[in-house]
Amino acid sequence: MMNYLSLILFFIALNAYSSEEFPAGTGTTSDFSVQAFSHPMSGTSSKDRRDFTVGNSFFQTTWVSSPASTPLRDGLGPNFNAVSCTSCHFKDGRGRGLPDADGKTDMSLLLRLRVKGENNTTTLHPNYGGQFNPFGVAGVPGEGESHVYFETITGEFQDGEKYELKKPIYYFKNLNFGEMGENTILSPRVGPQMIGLGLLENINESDILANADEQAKSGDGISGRVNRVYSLVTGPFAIGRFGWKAGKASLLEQNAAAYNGDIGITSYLFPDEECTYVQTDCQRFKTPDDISPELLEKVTTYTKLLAVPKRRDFGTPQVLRGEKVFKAINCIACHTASYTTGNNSNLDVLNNQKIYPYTDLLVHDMGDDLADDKGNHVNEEGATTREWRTPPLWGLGLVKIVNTHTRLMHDGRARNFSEAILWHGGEGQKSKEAYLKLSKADRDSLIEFLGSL
Amino acid sequence: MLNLSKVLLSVFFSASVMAATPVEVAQQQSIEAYSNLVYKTYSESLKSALTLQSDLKNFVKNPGVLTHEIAKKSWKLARAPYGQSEVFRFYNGPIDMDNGPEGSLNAWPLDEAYIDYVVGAPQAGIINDLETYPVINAELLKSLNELDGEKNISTGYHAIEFLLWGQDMFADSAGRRTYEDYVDGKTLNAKRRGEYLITVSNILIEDLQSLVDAWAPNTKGNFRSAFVSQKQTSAFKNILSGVIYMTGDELSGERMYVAYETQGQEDEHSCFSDMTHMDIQWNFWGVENILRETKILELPALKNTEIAKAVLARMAKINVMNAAIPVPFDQAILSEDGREKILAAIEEMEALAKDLVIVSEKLGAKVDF
Repeated sequence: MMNYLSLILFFIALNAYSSEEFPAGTGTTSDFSVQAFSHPMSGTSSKDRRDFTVGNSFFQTTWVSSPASTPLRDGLGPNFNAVSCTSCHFKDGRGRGLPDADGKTDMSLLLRLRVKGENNTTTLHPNYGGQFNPFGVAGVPGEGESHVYFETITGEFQDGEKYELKKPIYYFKNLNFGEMGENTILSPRVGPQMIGLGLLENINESDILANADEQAKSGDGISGRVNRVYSLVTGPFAIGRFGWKAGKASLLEQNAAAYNGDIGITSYLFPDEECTYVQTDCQRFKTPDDISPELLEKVTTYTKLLAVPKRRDFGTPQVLRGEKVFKAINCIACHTASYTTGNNSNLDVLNNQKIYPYTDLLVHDMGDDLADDKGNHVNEEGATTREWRTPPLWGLGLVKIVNTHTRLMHDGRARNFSEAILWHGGEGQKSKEAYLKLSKADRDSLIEFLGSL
Repeated sequence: MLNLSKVLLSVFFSASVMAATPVEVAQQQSIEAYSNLVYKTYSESLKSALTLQSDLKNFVKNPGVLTHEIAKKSWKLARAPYGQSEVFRFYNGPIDMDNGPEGSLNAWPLDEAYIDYVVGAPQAGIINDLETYPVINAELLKSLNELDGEKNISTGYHAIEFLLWGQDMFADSAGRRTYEDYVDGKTLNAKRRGEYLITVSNILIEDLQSLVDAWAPNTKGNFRSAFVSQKQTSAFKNILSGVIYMTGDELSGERMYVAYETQGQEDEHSCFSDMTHMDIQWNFWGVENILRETKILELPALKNTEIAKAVLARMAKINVMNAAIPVPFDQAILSEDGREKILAAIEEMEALAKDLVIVSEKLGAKVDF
């Protein structure tokens, strides 16, 4: 009798959380304060919570140069972009990427570098490597400074309302290893919010492949591709899920790569730091095994468990109307609303969750204006300079509270939701054009809906 | 604005359409009692911070052993009420809502070299960087707090702590900064250090005043007036979110388990003054204060239930366990006896957090944890 009752209660509870209001299923949290992105999934076990808190500490920690009195936290550099994860993912949130006016780029923005070769191939930059690192530890020069100025693009909605977009043009100052050269491709990337990543990792491969199949069949000009990447863990060729071009297959690799490329922290996965031939000082200050496998694992557990907050203003007429518009203008084709996660995570709370991330995890040609380079050059594993992974939309409405800005897109060039839509081109062109034709009321509803996610 | 009008609407309906039941009356008293407690705790925090501010001014004006000791004692006294207020976080209340002062008041752990000199870097920090920061004022320090990373802390209690104690490099004592750091001509940038200290204490007062105002009784349009008139289950969910996150994550996890695991002094809460053992107790007393003042466990939904008894028993146990953790905490995390006691207290708090989730369910205000 008791068992039946608890079974019934279980299903009631299950249903209560199987709703778009709870984007992370039963793991959804309900703190909407500045800590909104910083909690573990509801229902996380005490043991996993402990790993989470230790991982959190190392996510926040300021890395210092080696050797230091804090052996767990030394090994910064030789070159680096930032001294901690939170420098760019402040409060587990999203960086702003760009300044309001012409000037230095924000701490939270990094620039990947490639040099054009024949037949759309690319190579790492001979002097600056694959990523621009502005800073160096004592005795090692930084690579230089990245700056930006803006060109104004103007346009008009069908109802006559005008808009302005600010197109960032990047350039360098005080370069320490010579000019970049004309054939260098810059790929700017901002640190995105960290929520729900373990759930994205736990989406079944078959669901992602089905997204690609469905888009290929639809014939509406949208045809996302899986970025097939080499995985240090599972070998060739895994489905890329993380990063702005879906260049990494797992969170473990994404985290280890970010530690390595952005902070200069080596691990068993990325044992070497990038110093090019001309960077002789850099070569002298390399440090092996900066973070242990155990700590890297805990940081990864942390990133897996960060929960997605509940939606706000869910079910209001305007939000519901906005959701209809979102579907009507086909944003939903790439921003796939929902999945049920798989069953294989060692963290139970990530398994079998009905989630609402609004992404297909595929890379898409997003048009000339967003492209790193208009040519279709190889940029990151299978993804080209024109392609970007559809980013998840969950939690975006709270970035304003957590990070005190509303900037979006891969380098933060969109100053709000509306500009983010207007930047869409390529496979997103039709939806953008449909957005331009919407009535003011429909546009406002759409923005309201996005803000409620 | 939208939320406020919703609240007003629901007050209007509940007041005019339905007469309050005895259960609702008891629950409303509980919510009012919580609001009184928050107001009282922030008021005491402000009062003790004003004393601290005046003692800091006196110290900077007349730096000496005695004035230094008085200032340090005031800092410790000021921490007691504030530590008990931290349980009022985690539900988007005045302390941690958009532009709330939590990060400005109590951000930690801080990278001390961001503020002042450290061993091996005699010219480090904002204080010694005359070129970038020619003038130290409130506007500057506010703009630098948590800039480009959560450890870049320029303001709040722990900034003051570092400026009074300095780095703790000693097993048998707290940090040993000397008053001469504030004697003009004796140390590099002594005058700027004094200006920094006073400026940070001024910001502290400003921040605490905003919290007192937000929770002042009978004040139209402040946070409290909306808080007490929202749906009762929402209010309980807020109250218990603070209690549960403080017990199960912030205190037992971030403030105790991380230090236990890494055995690193930099992971203890008040690492310069060696006051972490009291921070732990104060934080937990905050939890206790709420249960005592609101009488939540005596509300009809919980009175005489097994869960209410279990919570009370566990709380009594935790108080004893916390008090038994050896002092100082940075040595306790290294000793076998200390580690055993710390872990036991952590486990008991984790269990309490789970019990409190059940309490929230019983009130129809389940906290997602």
